Amino acid sequence: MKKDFVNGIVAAGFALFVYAEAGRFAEGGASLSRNPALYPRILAAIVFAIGVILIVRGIIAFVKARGGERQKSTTDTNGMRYVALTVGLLVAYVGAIHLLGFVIPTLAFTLTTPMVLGTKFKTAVLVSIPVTAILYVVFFIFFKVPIPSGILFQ
Amino acid sequence: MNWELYTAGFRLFDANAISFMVLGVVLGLVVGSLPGLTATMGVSILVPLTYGLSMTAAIMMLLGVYCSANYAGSISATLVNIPGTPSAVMTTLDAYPMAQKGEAGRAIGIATLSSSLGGLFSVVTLALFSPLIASIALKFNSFEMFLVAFWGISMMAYVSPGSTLKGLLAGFVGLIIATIGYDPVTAAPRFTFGESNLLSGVNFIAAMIGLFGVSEILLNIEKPGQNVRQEIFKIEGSLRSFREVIKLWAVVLRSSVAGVIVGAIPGAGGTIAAIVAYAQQKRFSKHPELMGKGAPEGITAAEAANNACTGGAMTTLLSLGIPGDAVTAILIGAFILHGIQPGPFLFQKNFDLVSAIFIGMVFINILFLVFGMFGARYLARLLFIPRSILNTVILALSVVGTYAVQASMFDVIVMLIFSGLGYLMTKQEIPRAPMVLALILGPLLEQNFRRWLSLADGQYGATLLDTYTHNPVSIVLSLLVVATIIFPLIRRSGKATLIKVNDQP
Repeated sequence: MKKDFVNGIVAAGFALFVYAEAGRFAEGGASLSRNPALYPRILAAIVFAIGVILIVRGIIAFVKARGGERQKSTTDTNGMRYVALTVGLLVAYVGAIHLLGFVIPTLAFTLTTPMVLGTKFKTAVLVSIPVTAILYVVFFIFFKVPIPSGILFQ
Repeated sequence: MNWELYTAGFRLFDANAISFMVLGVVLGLVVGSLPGLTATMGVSILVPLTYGLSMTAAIMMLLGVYCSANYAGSISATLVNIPGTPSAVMTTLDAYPMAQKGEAGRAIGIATLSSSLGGLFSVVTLALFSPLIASIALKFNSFEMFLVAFWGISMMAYVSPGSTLKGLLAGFVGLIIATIGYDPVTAAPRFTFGESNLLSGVNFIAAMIGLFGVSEILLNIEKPGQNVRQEIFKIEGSLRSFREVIKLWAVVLRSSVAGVIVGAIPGAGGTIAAIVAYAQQKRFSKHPELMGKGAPEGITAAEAANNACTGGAMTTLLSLGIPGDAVTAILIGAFILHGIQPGPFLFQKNFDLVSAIFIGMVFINILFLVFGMFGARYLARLLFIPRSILNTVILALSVVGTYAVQASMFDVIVMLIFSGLGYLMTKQEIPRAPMVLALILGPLLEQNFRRWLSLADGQYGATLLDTYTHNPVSIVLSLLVVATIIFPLIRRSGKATLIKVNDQP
């Protein structure tokens, strides 16, 4: 199975990275209980072992499947496009609230994202303003939790 | 039974706590009624909102969401044949055919009362057994606590969807992520890469919102037909089904017992509980041929079990500090946010809070019974909200909510990273729940492991031998851990998952 193989490669690579990185804070002379690298290295060794098993399982499945029918790809490219666009908007939203604070970016995000996902402009506008207002009231006034203020608009 | 001790929790209930409990129930009903939104997602997104609340109000609100969302999944299961939450998947089998016969109100009435009775039964078992388990767990030494935490993670990996190996992978990667920050013994920074925000570790609330909130929305967006307006059935005569459910008391009892037991198994959750109870009912039924064609006993079995699961999951959470499902794993995060560490010591230090949880869960199960009976027709209207708008609102809520926990943009970035991770994990068929549990239990696991190493003082073999020869609990726990890990691996197919289901209630 291709997924097992990929998962195994990523897991083994991650484990090797963790093991090596733990060397930066390992205390060689200390007792085992005082060595900060011991526990993460044990975990990395286990993850590496799981990774290797997944790689082997993936190879075995691939060899077995060679004689049979090829698996059809089930990826929905249209769906993936929506996900990619949403992630892009989400990252832009986070960047924008860091700079401009909560209100303007939230208005923009709640207006553009539904439109990207298929909602009409009029509906999106009708949703965007009350949603921003409700979020503001719920977080800032009702629950009294902090909301992003932004660098430019403190 | 010390009645005075059990009623001590009433002191913690003020108007504030009661109001937020009611709000939690309403929010849970909304979250549960909407397909695509799960109890796990709802609780994870709402945790930051509780930051400014009193501990009791916060816990009541989140418990309200948890219990009522578990029930409300049955509303869309009945009306549009789509379970509102994965745990209502078995409810669709009989509730929808019943609705097709023009009896949607009857189906919802049966589901509501069965859910409430299952939930109430589970609270009784929670109140009876959790103090007992906690009193046993109090005698555990560091090695045994290590084994309990480790068993929790391995069990969650075992029952999660996909192969156990992938569940274990998620769990161990989660344990590695939990080591980020100061070392608990020497205070040496680990895996922080010079970033001061990581010194206190990865914010688990941000991680949970990413893994279960945003990633779930991204998965929803990928599915086609997001804005299709569906025709739904009319809801009439829900109250008439009361007598019918009372006649099915044996089904309620049997399914509730199954639900409590499955709920107490780390990682199993409401979906598996409903499947087990439904299969059990089919065996016991006098008319198994009618199940799946609108049989009331099918609805009762599934709904009593998935709500009874909440008490089972809370039993291990409160008594051992080991959550029974993904929602209770997130609830641990909420407890910690409010300075409470669930586990056996909670019963010693804070029994009034434990008692408040028992009392609160009784009221929550009664509240959603009332709201469900009279409000289901209004909740049904939520199904008309376009998915694109709902998804956008939840994304905005996730960003602002994550920021609210510590007023930190760094946490928002962490949340985005975990969103991507959660999305990719699901695409690669790796369950997310073991990772959340590992993030929560990681520090407990490491602290007990290091404490045991320190106590052994270099004599590891002798200490281990001494532990096993003098304490049978260690042997039992070790066997449980070994069996949980080894049993699925030696099975022929390598796919040891009991039942393939979504990994969150």
